Order: sequence, then structure tokens, then C-alpha cells
Amino acid sequence: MATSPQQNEHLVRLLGRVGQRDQSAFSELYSLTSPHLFGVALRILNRQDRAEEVLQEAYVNVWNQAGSYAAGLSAPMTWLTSVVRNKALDWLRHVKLADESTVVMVNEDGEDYLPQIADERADPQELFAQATEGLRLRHCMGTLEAAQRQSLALAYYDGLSHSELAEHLQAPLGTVKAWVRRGLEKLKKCLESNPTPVKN
Amino acid sequence: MNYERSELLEKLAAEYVLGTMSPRARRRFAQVLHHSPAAQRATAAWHDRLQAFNRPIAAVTPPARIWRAIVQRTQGRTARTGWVARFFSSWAKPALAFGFGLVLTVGFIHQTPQTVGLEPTAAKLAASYVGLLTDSNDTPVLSASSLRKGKVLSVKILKPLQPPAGQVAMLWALPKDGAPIPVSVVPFTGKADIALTAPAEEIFAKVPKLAITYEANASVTAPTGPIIASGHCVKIW
Repeated sequence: MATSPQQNEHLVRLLGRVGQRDQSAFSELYSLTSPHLFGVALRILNRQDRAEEVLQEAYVNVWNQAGSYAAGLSAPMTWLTSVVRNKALDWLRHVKLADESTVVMVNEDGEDYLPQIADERADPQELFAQATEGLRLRHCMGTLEAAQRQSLALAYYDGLSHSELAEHLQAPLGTVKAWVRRGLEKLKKCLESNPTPVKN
Repeated sequence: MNYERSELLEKLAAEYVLGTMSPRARRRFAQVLHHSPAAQRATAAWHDRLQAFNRPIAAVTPPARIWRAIVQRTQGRTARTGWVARFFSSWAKPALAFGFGLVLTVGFIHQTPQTVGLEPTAAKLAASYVGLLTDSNDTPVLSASSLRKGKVLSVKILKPLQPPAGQVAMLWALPKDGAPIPVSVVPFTGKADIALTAPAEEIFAKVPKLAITYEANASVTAPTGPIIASGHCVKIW
């Protein structure tokens, strides 16, 4: 979800009011941001039921912690996304997922969610490519080696840990850790050498 | 491990945000985040750097039940205080609005519990503190109630508060003798359950009055603005 400076300011104001226990502001914040955040949770967890729980936990957190949101530290959508990603990653790290093929995902109309998600769950590398289109990121991602790019994409979009990456990529753990570390270092260096800020 | 070392902090923050850390390392770094502003800054910067990667993720409208569940949880209707809070808040306003009517109501319920569908064990209002704050025109502005030994103060705004832009509405306890004690920031409209730092009894035992002022921020320790509304704080037992 890309946000304009005006939308950003509006979200900052809403978060301020949520910090003061304003239910109507909370409701508006949810309407504006939950589709994107639910998409993020679904993407990383790939399960409707887990994503619903994570989204619920995340917004309860937002309600309780909006007072401590520091607008100077991060943009509102970035902060909200980080709350959801952290909850989702905690889920992945602490909950052993049951056999996913047995899970039936049904939405409110009784429709099976699985095919829809399966169709939409694009390849992480493709998502990476889309994310970098037209951004300075494209250039910076181009400076990464293929293995580094692939490691970052799988970690970010599919929530894979170091050891899961090693298994997935059939490479030694130490090698994978190095790909990730060097990929992140290169990315940071490149982004810092480019003065154009990425706003979201 | 010295987490304040910037190079190490940077590396850990990056991997925390990317999500590749092991569960143990993740838990440890989350603890560091609680008390290290440097770690918070490093993490926020990485969230910012990687935020653009979220753009291509398709938005999906969540089912309505999620919002219903969130509302239920954020309004504090826990199993522990749920029925008490609902029962109490529904009676507090009329009871206080009619002054002595409160006492009559307690007596009435006590005598005829069946009229409100209560079992004999729940025939009395729970021992609680109640406040009704009115403005200079005697219009009710806010009701506040808490169980005697409870740590939740339920407030309801009866007339929307309209502080100047950027200011907060602060609820004060005004002790019989002593300086005003800041209780909490209250919402401008609607209802809220406020977590108290101590059981209500410890805070309100010697507090005959409550007041609201508008303040520049939530961390003021003494009221600076004029009193917007005030009223008695009474014990019900």
C-alpha cells in the first residue's frame, strides 16, 4: 500500500487519537489499513486461520501501543506493517504448523479460500522484482548476487529462517547466513548512497 | 553480548526485520528492543528500508468477524469483569443523575431482584467507586466507575470533549488534602476501560472529587488548564 504525504499525515493523526482511546479513530484506521495488512499476514503465513489470528492480535497491539508510536521514527504504514510482520514471524517461529494440506479455509460466504490464495501466492522473486520496479531499489537489488537476492526474497515474503533457507536452497547453513548478511549489507550501502527516500 | 555495539546491533536489527533469526535469538533481541533506543532506531530504519517490498502484496479485505473480535477485546469486556462492568455502567448514569436515586435503586434491586433478572447472589451493586462529572452548566460530561478492589476504571463520555488541537483530556483525582493526582488521559468520545496502576481502593479511598482538564500532553503531573468538568467520587457499599 503506497501512501501519499496527505494519507500519511491522516494516519498519524488517527494513530494519535487511537492512543487516546478514540474508538471511532480506531475503526477508521482499521478500515483504511486492514486490507493491506491482512494481505501481508496472508502472504507470510499462507493460512487464512493463522492470518486472521495474527491480524486480530496485531490490531489489539496497535490499540494498546498507539500511544507509544513515534511518528519521527517510522511512517505509520511502516510501523503498522512491522507490528503485523512481527506477529506473523512469531507465529512461524513458535507454532509448529500442522499439515497444511488438511486445513480447510473458508471465508464468510462459505467459499474455500485456498485456491484463491494459492493462485495469488506469487513467486517471492517475482514479488521482489515488482517491488523494485521504478524504485531506486531496482538498481540496488541489481547489485546483489542471484543467491543473495533469492535468500532475501524467500526470507521476506515466505518468512523462512536461516535453517529453513538452507534446507530450501540445499546449501550449507553457513553459506546461507553469509548470503543473507552480505545481501543486507550491500542493500543498505546502496540505498544509503542514493539520496531519494522511499516513502510508504 | 554488547548489543549497543553499532555494527553488531545493525546486523541483528537487519536479520530481526528480515525474519531469519532463530526463535531463541529472536526472543532475545525482542527483549533488547524493549529497553534499547539504539536497537529501536536500528530496527525502525530496517523496517523503513524494506517497507517497499510490501507494495506488490495484494490487499485482501479481512472477514468482518475479525473486527468484531478486536472491538470486543479492546473494549475490555473480559470474563473477569464483563458482567459487572456492563451491569454497573447501565445503572451508574441514571442512579447518579438522580442523586439519592442511587440509594433507592440499590434498595429497590435488593428488595426485588427478580425485576432485573438477577439471582439473589447478584442482587446488590458490587462495592465500587463511582464518579459523575458535570460542566459549569451542570450537564453530565463523564461517568467513571471501578470495582472497589478492581484495577480497571470504566469511563463513559456523556458529552463529547473538545480540547484545543493537540491537547489531551486528563482525568484527575482530587484528594481531600493533598495535590491532584493524574489518573489517566480519557477519550474525547465513547467509552474506555482504563488500567489503573493500583486497586481503585488505594487510589480513590480519600478522593471525594474528580475533575477533567485539557493539557498539552499526557505526562503532566499537576493540572495547568482550567477545569472542564468536575464531580463527586462516591463509594457504593
